[in-house]
Amino acid sequence: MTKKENFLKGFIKENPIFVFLLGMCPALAVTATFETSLGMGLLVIFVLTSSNVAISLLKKYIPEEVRTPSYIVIIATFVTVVKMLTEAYALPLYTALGVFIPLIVVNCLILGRAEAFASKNNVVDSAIDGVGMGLGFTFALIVIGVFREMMATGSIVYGEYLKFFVDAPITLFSLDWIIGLFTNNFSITEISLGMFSLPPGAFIALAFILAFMQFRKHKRVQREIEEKKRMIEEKKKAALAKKAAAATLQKAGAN
Amino acid sequence: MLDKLKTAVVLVIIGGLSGLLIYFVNDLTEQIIIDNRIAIEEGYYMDILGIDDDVKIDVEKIDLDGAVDQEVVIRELVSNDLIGIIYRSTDSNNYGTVTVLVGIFPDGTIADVIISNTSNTPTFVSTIKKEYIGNFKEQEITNYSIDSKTGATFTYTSVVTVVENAAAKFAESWGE
Repeated sequence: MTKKENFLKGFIKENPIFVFLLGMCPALAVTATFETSLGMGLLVIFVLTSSNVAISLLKKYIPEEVRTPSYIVIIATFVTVVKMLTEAYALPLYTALGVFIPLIVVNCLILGRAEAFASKNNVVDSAIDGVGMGLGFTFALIVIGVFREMMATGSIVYGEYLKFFVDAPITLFSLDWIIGLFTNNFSITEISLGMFSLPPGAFIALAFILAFMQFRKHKRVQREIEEKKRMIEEKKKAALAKKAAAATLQKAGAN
Repeated sequence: MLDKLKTAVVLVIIGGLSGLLIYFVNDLTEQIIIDNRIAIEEGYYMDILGIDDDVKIDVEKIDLDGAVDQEVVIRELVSNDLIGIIYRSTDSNNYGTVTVLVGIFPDGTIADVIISNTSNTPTFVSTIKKEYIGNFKEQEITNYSIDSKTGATFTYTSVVTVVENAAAKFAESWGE
């Protein structure tokens, strides 16, 4: 596997949430808005990359029988670090994510990558895997977060929890802008589905997204099967044509 | 034997490195976190006593030894009129700690009770905040009733303990 493939695999092909269904706890709990999804994603990227690097560095020295507890201690250390940094420098995000920051320790994705990748590969590849998988995880959280926030409020807001680059919350996108092109007497908030910001909305949103992903996958597999069938048919036709040509040639030679 | 010793040494080294990293980050962030918590608490003062944002206040904090950690005396800046007193105290229970602010008006009425910081289970804390803690509001500090069944016994017991301590301190300092 090249470094580029290693980096990109986490986005679609081996996406932790949409393909492996790992880290579902934060995927359901903190994706009520785009911003909390992005915040959790950034924290996971930090923890995943740091723990992958540390485990890759220490893998030769960690005895087999205490492998998992050692990995947990390393991951817990980085989670504690990230918790303290968030509480100090991004307090609104810390308040919004609450108990789900310490719970990163038990995120299956992080221990999974430590076991499956970092403990078997070198530091550079482990770091690339950590960043790639972390970005894939963040991408999935953002997809769910954007879907839920759009359904619940009709807009995407930035600056309420993550105050980097902005002084006050700004609306990144609102369906009202599009609706405003056609009519002035309608606001998306009138039909917004508040349920999507609540826990049942998380399950329903994830179900819609996974169903869409499965639909795409099914289509792709069907297309591949069709393509294979077509190629086999073409090969058969070519072989028959070749056979017929050979028979004609043989006949002509005999005459 | 040697293998076990090696395992122990590796674990000690991992634990030591983890501790060192946490120590340095704690050193870097400790003061900022304390300042953040103080800022949050000061934001609560206005909510507890129902003070409008345009009213300028004078905040006098007195650190106490005993059951109550801090007494905060809030006065109007211009007239120096006493608006209220807030008692801050932390109680420990089986699930961790609960820091509670108890606001009392000068006439002895409870202005509000707020959980400002806690390590207790969020679901239980949320239940207490939503359904029970508001019942203290507008009761006399010398004669208030409490809900005996809450479904979140530890957190609520801590809140009640802090309110009791605040009541005792208020009676001692401002009783007459």
